[in-house]
Parts: sequence; structure tokens; C-alpha cells
Amino acid sequence: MKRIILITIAFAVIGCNVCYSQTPGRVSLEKIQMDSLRKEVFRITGLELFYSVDKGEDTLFVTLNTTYENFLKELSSQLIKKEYTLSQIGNSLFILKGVGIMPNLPDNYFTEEKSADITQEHLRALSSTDNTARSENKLYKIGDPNATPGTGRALLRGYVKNIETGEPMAGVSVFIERPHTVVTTDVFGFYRIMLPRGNYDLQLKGYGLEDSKLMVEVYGDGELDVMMKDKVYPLKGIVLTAESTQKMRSTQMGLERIRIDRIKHVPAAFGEADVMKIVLTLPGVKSVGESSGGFNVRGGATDQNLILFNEGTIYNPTHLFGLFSAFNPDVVNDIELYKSTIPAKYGGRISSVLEINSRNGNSNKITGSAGLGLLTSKFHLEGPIVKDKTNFIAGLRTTYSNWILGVLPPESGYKDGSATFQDLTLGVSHKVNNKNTLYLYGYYSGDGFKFSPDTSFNYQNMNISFKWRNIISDKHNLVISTGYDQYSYKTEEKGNPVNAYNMKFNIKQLYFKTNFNWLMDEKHSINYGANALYYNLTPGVLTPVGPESLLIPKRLNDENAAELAFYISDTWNILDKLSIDLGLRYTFYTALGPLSYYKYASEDRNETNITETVDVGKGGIVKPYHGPEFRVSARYSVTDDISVKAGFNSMRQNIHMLSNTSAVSPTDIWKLSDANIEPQKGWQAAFGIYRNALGRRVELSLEGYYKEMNDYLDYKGGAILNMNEHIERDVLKTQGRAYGVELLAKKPLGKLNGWVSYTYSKTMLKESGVKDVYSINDGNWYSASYDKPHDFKLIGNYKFTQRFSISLNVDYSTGRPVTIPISKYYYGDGYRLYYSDRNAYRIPDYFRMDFAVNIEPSHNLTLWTHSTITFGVYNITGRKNAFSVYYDTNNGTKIQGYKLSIFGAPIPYINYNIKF
Amino acid sequence: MKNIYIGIVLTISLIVAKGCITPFEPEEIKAIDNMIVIEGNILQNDLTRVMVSRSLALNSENVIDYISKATVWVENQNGVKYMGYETKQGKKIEYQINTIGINPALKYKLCVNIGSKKYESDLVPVLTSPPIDSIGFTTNPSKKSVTFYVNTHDPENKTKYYKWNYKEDWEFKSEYMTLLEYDPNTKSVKDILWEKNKYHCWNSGVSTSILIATTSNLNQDVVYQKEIASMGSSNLRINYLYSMELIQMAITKEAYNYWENIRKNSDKIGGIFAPQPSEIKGNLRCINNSEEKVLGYISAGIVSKKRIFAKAEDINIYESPSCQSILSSPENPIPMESLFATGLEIVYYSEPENTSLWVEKKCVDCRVFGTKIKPWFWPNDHI
Repeated sequence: MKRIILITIAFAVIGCNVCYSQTPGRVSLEKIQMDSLRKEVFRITGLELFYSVDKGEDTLFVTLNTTYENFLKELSSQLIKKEYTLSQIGNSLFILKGVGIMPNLPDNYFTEEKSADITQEHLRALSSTDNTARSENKLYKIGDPNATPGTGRALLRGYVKNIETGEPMAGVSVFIERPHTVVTTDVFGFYRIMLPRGNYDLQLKGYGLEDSKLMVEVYGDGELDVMMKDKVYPLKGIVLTAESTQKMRSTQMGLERIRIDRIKHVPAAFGEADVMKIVLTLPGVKSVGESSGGFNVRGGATDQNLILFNEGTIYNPTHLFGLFSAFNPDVVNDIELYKSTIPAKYGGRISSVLEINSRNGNSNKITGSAGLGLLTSKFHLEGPIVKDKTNFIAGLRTTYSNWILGVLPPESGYKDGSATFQDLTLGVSHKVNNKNTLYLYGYYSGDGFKFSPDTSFNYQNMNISFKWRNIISDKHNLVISTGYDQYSYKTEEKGNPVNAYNMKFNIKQLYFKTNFNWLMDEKHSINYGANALYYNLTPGVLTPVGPESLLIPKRLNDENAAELAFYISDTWNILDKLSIDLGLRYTFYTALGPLSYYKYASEDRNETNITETVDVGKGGIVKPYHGPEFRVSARYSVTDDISVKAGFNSMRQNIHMLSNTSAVSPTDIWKLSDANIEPQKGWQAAFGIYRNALGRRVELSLEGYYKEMNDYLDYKGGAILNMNEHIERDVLKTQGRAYGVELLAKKPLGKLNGWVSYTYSKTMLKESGVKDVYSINDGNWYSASYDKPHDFKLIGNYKFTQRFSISLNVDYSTGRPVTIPISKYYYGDGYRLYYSDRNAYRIPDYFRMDFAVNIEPSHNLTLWTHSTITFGVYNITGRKNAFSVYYDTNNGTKIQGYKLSIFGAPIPYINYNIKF
Repeated sequence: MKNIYIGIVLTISLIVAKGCITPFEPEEIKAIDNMIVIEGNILQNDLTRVMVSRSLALNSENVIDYISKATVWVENQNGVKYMGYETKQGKKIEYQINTIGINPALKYKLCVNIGSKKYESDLVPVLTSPPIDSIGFTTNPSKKSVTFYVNTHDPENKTKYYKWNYKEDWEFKSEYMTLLEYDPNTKSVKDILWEKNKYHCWNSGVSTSILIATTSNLNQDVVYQKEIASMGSSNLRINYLYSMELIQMAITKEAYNYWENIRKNSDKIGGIFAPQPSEIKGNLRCINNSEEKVLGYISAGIVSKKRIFAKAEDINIYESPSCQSILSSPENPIPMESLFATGLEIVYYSEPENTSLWVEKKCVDCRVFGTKIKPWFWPNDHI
């Protein structure tokens, strides 16, 4: 099949040669070429001239002898004779072949919702006559061909957009083969690449997009916007894919980027595409159990992941205790998980960064979708408000999932409850001009539960952020963002009128971030900036409920803190084969007053060894902590298809989650570091080998890591974490170490696509410090609750035809460690249990296989209904995987252990999706 | 807005999310047994009853591994000893110490010598429990259950931490009343005396749950409707007459934390939202070997007691079990010995008509579920 040309190009040529003569008062031009005319026009009228002439006709000469006043009129009539037109828009003049641009806007212009962006308009006009790509074999000239050839490399920049929706495409690789130079578009679809002067094949590749190859001739700096089309048919003979290019060429390690299309193809429980669950299919990511919120990256704890949704920090990314993720898949564009090399611009958590980006919305037309499911209803709308200037996207999702709680087993703790949740996402982007774009994002997610008429709780995430993106110069751009994040929850218990209470928790943060990108030269790309963050926590407000309640109202003092970080990093391409990324981040942190705290004589803090009470006034500095964080990585390409990388990362974290349960619970409390609680610190060293195999259709990678964590918090036996004024007396400093090897084979495209991974890893924890008496495991190392050494995952999809494909998931892992009773004794007229050392035993291994069939009855884009059917089975083998284990002490003398499985049977589902 | 594209997604999930519970037998458990367990609160207004035992492996069929021949005594802060003596009741071995009337202003400790090993508790204060205000019950008709609760308060606002245990006795009746009995030796039906009826029976028990409460977060020291026992509609306790003697003890904050931890560890834990189980050390130790783990927490106090009776007709949720019966008649004659051999008991017999009615033993002989031993305080004249 002959490839259809899918590229349209916006092309601007800047620069000209001088060649004109003149007499004062009059303008006299003799057969001058366009470049010279441009200068002349500017001199005479102060107007910028843009021209666009057919190739091979750059012999358009103009001969004029007229007055200044009649200059334009004369020029226009000259051009008309040669079948060109001269149009004026604002301060710009255009010479175009054939019919020109209407200089005055039609009366109905604005009601037609068209763009008034003149700059954009003339670029498009030029491209439509001159450089509209009809063939990939067409040559695109960058810079002025007539300019004296410069030395060194030229800078090419522009946007990559989706041809249909106009949305910027992030994560697209833009590269040339020789000399090998690769860049990736940022979240705005913007790229900058330094190219040597000469002729090249500029290639563009992105997941789910048709590959494209453009012939460019580089004379000097220039701009090139590229429109790419969604992939409709998988192409045979793909030489290199975006992901593999990125993996081979960047210094990044342990970065996983997944687009929403892929997420939607993975079978999920209840058939709901789940943005967070896909994270668990990646190597090196584990969770305590299925349907639990939270995930563990390379041995990190669940609170050590920074989850960002459009810059805002999400403290609880799940609905229904972790059964669903709190992000509407219709609004999400992609997710990025940084497991190892964390860019210097991110900080605040010591394990990983998960970035979730929403889409910008279709910039061509208003579109939307509405979904009806057994669990959720959702609705989303997107489109331009002002064409080519202002876009919006909005999504709403809500549930009527009460029934699902009813079908869950009673031991799960969900039964007999009622639950509601909803989430709302809003994004608006506004292009002020070519150099400035503004973005506004809003997000709300809320959950409400009732376990009985008297027990309820609810929680909310709320985020709002504002972002300004500015292109300072060809090589320099800036993103400033500011926003407000909030997470709060409330529990209420009023079964007993005397003890009836509600308890509220609230965390708020206000941030301001600046990030500069500077492409210094072809060897150095510098990223620098600063982040400021202000935290305010209300750790607990206990209020009596009802007139009979005798509860003493209690409010723990608010916690306030400020965090300031500066960072700089340099991606330094030393040689074609070798590049290194040097990053440094320096963080200052302090808890702020008003605060009054105790000093203790020893690590074992209790009431009896208080040495001093310290009062800090409002805004006063409690105890500053500061330190550097190093982010270093290097890449060496052995051949074009083999590269090796190594990296070292150190991180600091100033906020801790207080939780003594195995899994994340919505009612977990967060605590800021203060005089008694130090920030968590961690570092990771990693190496990796990456190889493209089978004609570059398969990517193989092997990554290994060693990681250490310090000042992670654990708790003394019987510690009460809620409403505890002196939590420092109940916490135990814990250190951790983790190591592992991750093997991944990935085939991103083709009839058979997907990935298979195997991970071997260990995560051990230990109560730190030198003590007489240790609370946990006598101060020896023990396995973390999410330590599952063997882990095998397969995500596969096979396309029989374009309309029919099957998907298969396989997930195997070692059972998680548990603490179980090892002895019984009779006490207080009943059997009591004596427990083993922490996590000394394991539940049985986990195995699950899911299967789905995807049918797309019609592919014809001209049909106005488009439907897809997916049916599948979650846990097809019906294996009764243990979710939890418990022991029953009320059944005779023998104490029996039981294991509970939540999804202990195959769960079939059907998903029908129709668009019209 | 001419180009509005709307899509519809329909999700149908045929939910069979049946949770299932299967036995869990982890491999290679290194069971710890033989830890010394010492139980017994020092009481100022009752005998101090001390039980010394060893912990057992989980799957052990052994009930309690009592330790006999220990030397047990209570000692006050001035070194005055109150010696205990060993008693044996069935298999149960108990050391009793007369601590009635000890000076509540002093602190006491419990000491146990087992062979050469010496164990002792911390010195603990004697705390006085306020009187129990009332014990009541509420019924939940939809769940068909009854819940007994206690109300108490301390006007001086100093108790804060409470612990309860109770002894319970109940009288129940069999479903069928008969004064007949089949004698397999003579293969005949004989009458029995009313004194030997199998209709009225009694049984007794003790609380097995850990019942504790704190009022430390309330502005008054009031315990309101603290649940202490709950029974379903088929529970024989509420068949006729139920009695409970509740014993209330004031405990320290440390004792409360210890019991609360045991309570958490004994509840159905292991869920991923449940706290990680952990052990809290009690206030007992081995003097010879500080590394040795000794289980238990000793408190001292002046307890308060209250007894209540609850009639079945007031609770009014009891549901009789179904009883299978077989009628042997001339039309359908069945030999008596074979009916008896299948475990049925005779309740009606008419020799002239050659007719007899037989029902399951559990429906006619109350001794299946209890005894004929009537508590001395029982408020009726049933025999």
C-alpha cells in the first residue's frame, strides 16, 4: 500500500539577502528578488513581508518605479499580473499565489469560532501554498538557503501535533540517524533539536502514531511543526519505535511511559480501564494485594511515591479503598513512572515519581463521550472555545456502586456498606501567542462510605493549578506553575451516643515552581529552576456529635512547614556514543511555628525523659533540614542497538505517612518532619543494558538496582496513630535496603504486541539505631510487607485482523510476607495468640490470568457510528488468591488459620462502546 | 457546536465475585511453646486465683497445659508475703491466695517460683472500681440478636480504664417434656420421677472476650452501653432464664494498653487494613533469665459485682430448633429397639393403641446441652 501522506508542515523562512537600489522620494526597484523586496518593503512601509512562491519559480522579480505613497498599490498590481496577490493583515504583508488572504475579517468570523491568531494564520497560509507536504519525499528547507553558510549546528524547533485533534503529542521521538541525535517532545508537544547543516531524514515516532520521515535541508535555525496521524494499521517493517529509540538514546533509566490507548486494552476487573492498575503491570512495581490502593516501587514504601496529576500532588489516588483509580480514563493522556533516574526537577519523595497528564482537548471540534457502566457513569466533553487559541477538556465520573459492596464477601469489610464516589477533571489551555501559553487545571475526587447507619467516612482530593509557558528565545524556554492541593477526610462514629464523635484530617499545600530549559549548544542541554512549597496540616480535630456525647473536643496543633529547592541539571552529549546527565538538587526544609515541642534525653522517647519544652512563635523556624540530592546518569552506546547505562540518585522526603497497616488506607495520617522526626532519605544506584533485537522489533532490557532508605517510620506495638499529640514517642526509626534485577522484553508494535517481565528483588527493613530493647524483631532485618522476590508479568495482545484482537494478562508473584501466630495460650478465659517475628511467614503465591477479546466491527472512518465490543474474564483460572489471612480463636482448642480471597472465581465482563 | 461526538460505553460485568475462605496452613512453622503464662489479679475483696500454664502450639489439641507444684505468693511493697495454696478442680489447677482485706494503700506484686525459676510482676497499685450502675439488653429484631450492655460511671472521674469479666448461668427447657424412658435392657418403656426430669436444665459459662473500655477522651467518666455479650436467636442462653454476674475492675493505662493489644491480636486480623500484629510485653519477668518471655499482666484492685436475670419472654427472640419425630402406630409399626438405636427418644406411649411418638434426643433430653445441677442462687423452684 502506498503510504498516505499524513504530514502537514508549517514552515517559516527567516533571513534574506540584500540587493536593491533607490532614489529619495521615489522607490525604484529593478528586477529585485523576493528577499530583497522584503527588506525594501520593511524599510518603506514598516510592514513585514511574507512570501511564498512555487518551487522553481523563485525567479519572481519585481520592477517598480513609483512614489512612497503608491508603493503598495503599485506592487500589488505588479503581482496580480504575475498571478500573485498581495494581502495585508495587521502589520504583515503576504505575497501568495492565486487568491490572497482576506485582509478584513468577515462579519461572522468570530461566531464561526475561528482563530484570530494572525501569526498562526499566516504561517498556515504559507504552508498551504508552498510547503504542504504531499509526499514524504519532499524536501523541507530549514533556514535561508541563500544565507552565507554558517558554522556549527542549526537549531530546529517546533510542535508535534495530532492531525485530527490538534492536540500536542508528548513523548514523540524526533531524531536523525547519522550523526545520531534524538530529542523527545515535552508535554506541550514541543521539541528542539540541534542539527548539523546539510541533508537529513528527520524521523518522528510515537506510540500509537504513524511513523514519519521528512527530508530536511538545514541551512540555519528554523521552525517546523509536524502533524502526525494516529496509527490505524500496524505497519510492517517498522525499523525503530519511539520507545526503543528513547530507551537506546536517552540517559534516562527506569522510565515507563504508557499512553491511555494501551491502558484501555488491558483487561481489568469489572472492565473499567484503570490508570493506576497499569502501573502494577510494570516491572519493579508491586502492591500489597489486589484491590488495595498504593504501590511499591523498587522496594519503596507506598508513601514514597510522588503522584502528580497536572502538577498537583494527589495524596489518595484511588476510589473505593483502592478498587478503582481516581482518574477518568477519558481525560488522561498518558502516565509516566520514574523508577530510577528521577529528573532533578522532581523532589519530595524518595522512591518514585508517577506523573499523570491529562489531555489538552481537541482543538478542531467539540467532541465528547458518555459512558454507562454497571459501576460508573461518565461523561466528558472537549474542544476549542476559541479555535486554535483556547481549548478545554472536562470529565465527570460518578458511581452507583453500592451493589458491588453487597457481592463482596463479608470478611472483606466492605459488605453491608454503601459507597459513592465521583471525580471531576477540568483543563483549559489558552495560547496567548506563539511564545506564551496559559494552562488552568482543576481536579476533584471524593468518596463517601457508610459501613452501618452509624459509621461513615468520606475523603476528598482537591487540586487547582495554573501554568504559564513562555518561549524566551530560540533556545530557552520557561514554565512557571503555581497551585493548591488539598486532601481531607472525616470519619464519623455515632453508634453510642455518649461516645459519638467525628474526626477530621486535612492537608493543604501551596506551591510555586519555575523550570527553565536551555539548549546551550549541541552538547549541553540545561534544565534549572526552583520549587517552593508550603505545607499546612491539620492532623486531627475530634468533635463530639449529638447533644449526649461526652467526648472532649480535641484539636491537635496545626503543622506548618516550608520547603525550598533549587536544581540544575545538564544533559551533556560528550560523544555521539556517550552522554551523561548531571543533576543536583538542594533542598531546604523547616517546620514552622507556632509550635511547642519536647526535647528528650534519648532516642527512646517517653514522658519520663523530657528534658526541655521549646516554644516556637508564629512563623518561627522549628528545626531546619537541608541537603543535596544527586541525580547522575550516563549512557554509552556500544552499537546502535546496544547501550549500557548507569545512574545514581539520592532523594529526601519531608512528609511521612503514619500507617501501621500493610496497605494504604484513606484514613492514614500524614506527618511533617519536625524537631523530633527527621526527613526520610534514600539513594539508589542502578545499571542497565538495553538491546534491540529481531530487527529492532523487540526491545530487551536488564536493569539492576541497589537502594537504601533511612529514617522511614515504623511504630511501637499498640501505638495509636490517630489524635496522638506525641507521635514521636510511638514511632520507630527504620532503615531499609532493597535490591533487584528486572528483565523486560517488549514488543510495542505488530500483530503480537505487549511485554513480558521477570523481576527478582528483595526488600528488607530493620529498626535502626543502637538500643537496649528493640520493639520489632529484636532489631534484626525483616522482609517488608510488599517483599515478593519472584515476579513474572505478561501483558499481551494479538491482532488476528484489524477488527479482532485478543489480550492476555498473566501475573505471578511470590506471596507477600505476613506475621502469623505461632503459639497459643489460655488467658482471660479464652485462647490468645502469640505472634511470630514481623513478616516471618508468607501467604501462598499469587497467580492470575485475565483474558479479553476486542472486536471492532467497523473501521471505516466515514461511518458515523463506531462501536467496539470487549468481553473478557478477570482471573480466568479462578485461582483463590489469598487477600488476607486470619485465625479463628473461637472454634475449639485447635486454632485454624484461614485465607480469604476476594476475586476467588472467574469474573466475566462485557464492555460495549458506541460512538456516533 | 455542530460537531458533537458522543460515545456510549456500556459495561456489563457478570459479577460472581464470590469471596471464599479456605484453610491456611503455612509451611514450616517454627512454633514457640512452653512460654510461661501467669494469670491472676490481686483482689482486695475476693480470693486471688492464680493460674500458671505453658503456651501451646497452635494445632495442639491440648486444652491448657497447667503447671502444678509452683510456689505462688503475693508480696506487698514492704515485703509482707501472702502465700498461696494449690487447688485442683478436675484438670484445672489453681493457686488461691487469701488477699481479702489487704491494705489498698500499698502496692503489691505476684511472685511465682517454678522449680528454680523465679518469676514476678511489677508492683501494682490497688485500684477501686466504682459500682456498676446497670446491666441491660437491647434486641435487634431484624438481625434476631440480643446484646447485653453495662452502664457505669465514676463520679470522681478517676477510673478512666475499665475491664470486665462475667460468669453466666442459664436455665433452659427441652422442646418436649416427657416422664417416659425406654430401657434398652428390658426393651420396655418405664416411667421416671419428676425429680429426674430431662426438661429443666442449667448450664454455665464465663466471658471469653476481652472486655475493656476507656473514658479517657470523655469529659465525664461515663461508660454508656458498653457491649459485653451478644447472642443469636437460637442461643439456649435465652431459652428460658439467663443470669449474668458481671465483675468490674479498674485498671491502669498500661494494663489497658496490654489488653487492648491482645484484643486486637485475637480479633480476626490479617487483613491488609488491619494493623500489623505486634507483641506488647506484660509486667511479668523471669528474675533468673531476663531474656525469657513471660506472658501476662497482673493488676490489683477492689472489684465491684452485679448480677442480673433476664427472662426469655422479655428478650423474646428465641426460636426453637426443628425436631424430627416419628410416630410408630399399628398402620406403621416400627420396632422400638431400632428407633432407640437410631438415637431417638420416646415422648409418648399408649400401650393399648400400640402407638408411640419418638423424637431426636436433643429435643427431649436437656442434658445434651447442660446439667441438672441448679445454681444455689437460682430464683425459682424448678428441679
